Amino acid sequence: MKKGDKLLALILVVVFIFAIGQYTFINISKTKRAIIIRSDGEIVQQIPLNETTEIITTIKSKEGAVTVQIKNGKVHIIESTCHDKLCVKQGWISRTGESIVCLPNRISISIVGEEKNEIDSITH
Amino acid sequence: MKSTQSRIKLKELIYLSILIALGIVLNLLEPPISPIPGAKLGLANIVILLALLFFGESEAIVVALLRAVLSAFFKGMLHPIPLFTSMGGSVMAAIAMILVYDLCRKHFSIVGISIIGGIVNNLTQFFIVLYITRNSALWYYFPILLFLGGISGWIIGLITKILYNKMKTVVKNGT
Repeated sequence: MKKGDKLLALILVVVFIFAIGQYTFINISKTKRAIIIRSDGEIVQQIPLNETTEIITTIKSKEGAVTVQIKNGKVHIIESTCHDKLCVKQGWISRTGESIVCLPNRISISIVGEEKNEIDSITH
Repeated sequence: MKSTQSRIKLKELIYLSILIALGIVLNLLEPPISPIPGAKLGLANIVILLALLFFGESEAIVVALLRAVLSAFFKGMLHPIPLFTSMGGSVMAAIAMILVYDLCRKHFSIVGISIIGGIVNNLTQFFIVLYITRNSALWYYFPILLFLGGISGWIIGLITKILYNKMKTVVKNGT
């Protein structure tokens, strides 16, 4: 191992510790969450997320459309017009911070925590 | 003299074609590994690194570009957005590896160069996706992508090192 290699290994270890810390920390606060859906870079829907939320909705973009299902505090894409269907294959997401992206359709769905002001104005 | 030169050119062309073909097959066959959909080990980067080590900078870029475009052809997925994302990652990784190889080869082994390639590949794709979706929530995945890019680069580097040592005598001396 040369000097630069050791430095890279060190950076990877630091990033790993940081990542583990971030993912455990974010999921402590589970109260008041919301789902933000973006299409073509714009927010098109904000839905408060809790155990009783139950919605099936279709999101359109210039490129195509996806059908989103929200159930039992979880979200997934049921159907998509895209070719690779990676968004459908990803399955359910339920943790705060997680996202599903349908890249060909330019649609993304994220679960966000309560810190954001924009969500408070919707839920209250 | 001229015929020797054109023979060397032809030999190089054949080797590059084989590398590109190998890259396409590796890309088509490799299974998805991580919890993030679409993320792969990036076995195709082996051939980019080999092209750089054996032939040079511009050859590595050509292999990176052609591999990405032809892979998309074979998968039947020519949608511009994923194609651009995959090509962007591949080419930026090639450029980063070229820069490290040219400027500070003394400090980095093949594995080190590959780690940098893996990280740059993932970061480029991350920023393209971030730009396309305008979704700042995606920063959540930034640390894990950085880490996975490095780890996959590490594995790719180890494989490339073994292949490079085995192929060295054939590619450089064989006619």
